[in-house]
Amino acid sequence: MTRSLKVAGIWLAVPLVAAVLVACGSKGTESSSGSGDNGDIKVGPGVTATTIKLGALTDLSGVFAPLAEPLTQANQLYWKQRNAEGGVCDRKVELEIKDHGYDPQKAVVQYRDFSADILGLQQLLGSPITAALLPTLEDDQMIALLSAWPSSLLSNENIIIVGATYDIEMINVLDYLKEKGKLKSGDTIGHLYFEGEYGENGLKGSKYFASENDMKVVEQKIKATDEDMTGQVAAFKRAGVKAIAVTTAPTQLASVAGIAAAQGMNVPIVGNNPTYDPALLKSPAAEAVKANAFISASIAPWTLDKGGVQKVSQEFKAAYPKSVPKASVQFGWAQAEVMYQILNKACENKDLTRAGLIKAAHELSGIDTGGLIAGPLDYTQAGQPPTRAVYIARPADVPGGLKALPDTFESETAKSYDVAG
Amino acid sequence: MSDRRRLVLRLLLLGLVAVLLWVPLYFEAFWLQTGLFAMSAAIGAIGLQLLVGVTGQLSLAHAFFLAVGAYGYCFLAGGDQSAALQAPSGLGLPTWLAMIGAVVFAGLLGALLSPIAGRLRGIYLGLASIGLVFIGQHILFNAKGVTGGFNGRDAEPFSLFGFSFSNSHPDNLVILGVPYGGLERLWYLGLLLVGVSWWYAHNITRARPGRALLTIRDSPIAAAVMGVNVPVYRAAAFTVSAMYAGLAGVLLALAFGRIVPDSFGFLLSIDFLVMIVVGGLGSIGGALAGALLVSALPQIFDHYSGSLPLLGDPGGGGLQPAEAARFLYGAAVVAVLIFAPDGLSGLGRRLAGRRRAASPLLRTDSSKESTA
Repeated sequence: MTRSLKVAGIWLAVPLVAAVLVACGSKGTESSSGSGDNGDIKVGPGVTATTIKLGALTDLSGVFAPLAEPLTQANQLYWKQRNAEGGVCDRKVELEIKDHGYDPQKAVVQYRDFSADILGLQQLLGSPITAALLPTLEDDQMIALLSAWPSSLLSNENIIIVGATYDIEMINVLDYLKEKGKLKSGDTIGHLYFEGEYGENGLKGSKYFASENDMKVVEQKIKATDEDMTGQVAAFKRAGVKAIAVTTAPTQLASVAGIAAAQGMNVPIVGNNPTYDPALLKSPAAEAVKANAFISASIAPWTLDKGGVQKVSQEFKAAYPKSVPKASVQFGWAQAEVMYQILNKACENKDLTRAGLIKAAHELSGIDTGGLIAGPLDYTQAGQPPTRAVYIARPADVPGGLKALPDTFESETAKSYDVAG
Repeated sequence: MSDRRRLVLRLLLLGLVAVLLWVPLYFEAFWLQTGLFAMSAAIGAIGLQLLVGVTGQLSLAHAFFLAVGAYGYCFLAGGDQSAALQAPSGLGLPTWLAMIGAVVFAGLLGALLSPIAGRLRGIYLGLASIGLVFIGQHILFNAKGVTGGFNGRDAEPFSLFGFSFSNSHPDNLVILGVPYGGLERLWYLGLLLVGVSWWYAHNITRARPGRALLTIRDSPIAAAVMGVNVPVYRAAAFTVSAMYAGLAGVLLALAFGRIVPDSFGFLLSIDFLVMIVVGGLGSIGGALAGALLVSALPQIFDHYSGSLPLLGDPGGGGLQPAEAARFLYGAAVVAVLIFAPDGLSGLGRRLAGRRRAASPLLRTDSSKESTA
């Protein structure tokens, strides 16, 4: 055979091979299974006659693992118990958990991996990951319960935030200081915050509070990798601040409290809920943290004397005896409870589709989490946080490391605050 | 190389192309998304290979140029975003023009910074280039008008002659019974871009400039003696490498649909270095293989980690599946480097049974063809 003939043969063979391979393509026929009518209830992806499959995109091996692990375990424990009691809508709920390790690229692939098989996201953790997935979540009408509290995402109707947002936490705790006479008009507040969504959302709260009360905010922006706050505390001292607000991680809270105490700055330090970890009580800054820190969170501290909270604390301790008590357990439980309420409502509406879940979620109001989350949750107001109440807590040597005031706190400033503003 | 061997190789290559074209008809979204990230990595790795493997210049700024390409594309193509979030501005150019513009812009920045590459070499250039990544991160977080800050910004879907590489325009496109959404369509765009990138790099390395660059790598003095303008060639390699990174960034943005600053950190630069070392320094084909291994293997391990034995449930006690996947990946990289010190390309050559003693000058893929 001459060479040109051989080459021609190849060029002929390729389309043939391709055609054979094409004949094997079967993706179109199998991808749409699982949706359609099921009895008299409309069902979406991940729903069968006996199960509902939910996903969780979380971080069990990256920087947020210490928070996310108990949180995810609480999600699982909730559904284990709920399934034992008969589940929801005559179906058992299955959780499929993916660990993205705080890597957006990995998270996007993992989402693609299971998005066709799940009805909604029980948990979505990590703000860069949430930001990267937003358009896809909207396209898929995928409901996602966030493990974060930024007010910038309230306008997305498929994003469900369980609790008060960072700005509202900040306004409430600053108002609390004002009520106690530790802040008065004309004072200066120092705000230390992380670059990024979380930090800037907290800052928005303190700035609003300051403008409403004729106060001034001195800003210090840091990166998550900055751990020594000497320079920032010195700047606060020069500005003569009467209180320090902190929207960072626990490391920075410890550094600020320790350095401020060493420099004789005896001012209250207020922090958002992610700034505190019970491990701080074992750090060298423990005394300073206990003396000056006020933590504002809509999640109930471990020891809060309310039936719902105590029940979760005890059951979690029984299921995971080696775990360290922390508030993300209460949050994980409440997050699952809210998902249960959404599924239940969608079941009543006879619409267990993704769109049905989003619709059902925004018909819910007055959700009582038994004290796990401050205040009843209301999702009917578009673009508004579900609650504006928080618990004000002080670090103390108790399980969970925080002791809260028995009642929730909701200031007038927080009530009148416009989150979209 | 004999005619027969050439025929076999060509058949294999064509078969591979046929298989790649057929992938979207059968494989699910997970594989397409993983593949798209791998294609983007492949383009970036080829670019870095030209700089590090061929010219012998170490650069850790690759993530920076990827970000320039990705954000450049989004800025040039973006424009009329919904006003819900404080939308970053854009020029609203046609997307094909934005793609070219982003690559050219990355190239211009590369050219602007290339005097550094012309003067420094080796580890010194590597360290100088780290700075770019951190400056880049700061700009991405703070220049909100263009980058959207920590929230990132949407990437306009690529479209050509009214055909959009997204879920719409045309809506509900079905080919051979398979719905063709954004991922399926982007797959072909990615293949085309990888093909063009490979072809261009292949031609550079086997032609005059490639020989000049290889000589610079092995002995800058010898190169200068032979009349090669060393600083100019080094600067040119830096610029071309930046353009490759820019194109990789554009494809990455299209594959993500929305880009955030966290995707372009220092670790990405390291990943690219791992890709070309694992693939085999100096080999363009090796860069492709390395990119595939480094970007896809962790995802694939993760995909199947649920079926690995002896692991705890996610969130439960014991070794987590994701951790196990990472151990496996680490072990795979170490194994490649131990058993194939010259990378995957060297392994491929040895498996092909061609144990010719490769002269250091001709250690690239181009050597295969030139001696045929």
